Amino acid sequence: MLAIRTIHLLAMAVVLGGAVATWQFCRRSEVSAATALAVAAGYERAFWAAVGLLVVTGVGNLGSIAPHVPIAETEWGTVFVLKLLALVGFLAVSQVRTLAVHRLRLADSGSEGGRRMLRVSYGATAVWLAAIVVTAGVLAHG
Amino acid sequence: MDDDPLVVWSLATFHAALLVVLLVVGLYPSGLLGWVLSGLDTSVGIALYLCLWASTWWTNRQCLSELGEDASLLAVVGLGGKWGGVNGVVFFWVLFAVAVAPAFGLRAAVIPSLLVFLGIGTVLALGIGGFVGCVFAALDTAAFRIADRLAPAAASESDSG
Repeated sequence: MLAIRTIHLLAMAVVLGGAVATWQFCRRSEVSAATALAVAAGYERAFWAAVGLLVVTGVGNLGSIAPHVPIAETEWGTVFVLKLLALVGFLAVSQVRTLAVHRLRLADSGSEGGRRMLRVSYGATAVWLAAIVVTAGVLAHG
Repeated sequence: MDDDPLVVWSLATFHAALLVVLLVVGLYPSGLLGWVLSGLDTSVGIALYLCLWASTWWTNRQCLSELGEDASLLAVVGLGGKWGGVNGVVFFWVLFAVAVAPAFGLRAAVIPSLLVFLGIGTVLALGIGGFVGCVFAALDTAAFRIADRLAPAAASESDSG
């Protein structure tokens, strides 16, 4: 189980740390918009690999407390359902963000408008992820 | 839509991850989640997920390359259903080989029952996978359309901002 938890934490570090780093990179005026787009595309590849690992190790973590998973009517259950719903929304919005990055690459769009979209996208991704991490902390430690 | 490696990779992971999360969401309120997870060995669970991820990547790639650049919603959903069905069958066969057949053992007495189970399960997996594939194809189409609106609008903004 230690390996599962370690992979889970590392995957979250890649997803959250990568979003913050990409957001920060896209904010720097000395970085060209085309470079920012290339970095964003690199992050997207790593992001989806890490998300896949996060989901499977998350279920593995849950399995470690099975069959004693608290029922839905408890406070833990409410937070757990909120976390799952936040995750569903996050996955859907992230898919749109990745496709938008792809469209910008197809258009060879190293414009400032494209860079602004990336900055807002990765800022929002980081904030959303931070909220999910908070719910994970509440579930783990109460 | 196109079969760019980033698009295929993101869609495959999105589908596999969303399916698993939705299964957890569906099972949890009924209290079945703990029971299901306690009956599933961790390494088998991880192996099945990796298999689902891989088969979803392969079927997504086939679907997108067959689809081409421009396609109607009907064509996307139709192909999504077809390749979703294939994905369902592939996953069921792996599940059968990894979890079901070893549990019964390959004794002559149980082989006819296992074959019947395999046949019925394949038909069900084709139907369920096809349905899930249609739903995901509709979701993907919506995601592509939103991204199509966001990205060109951002790209055409003035460089002054």
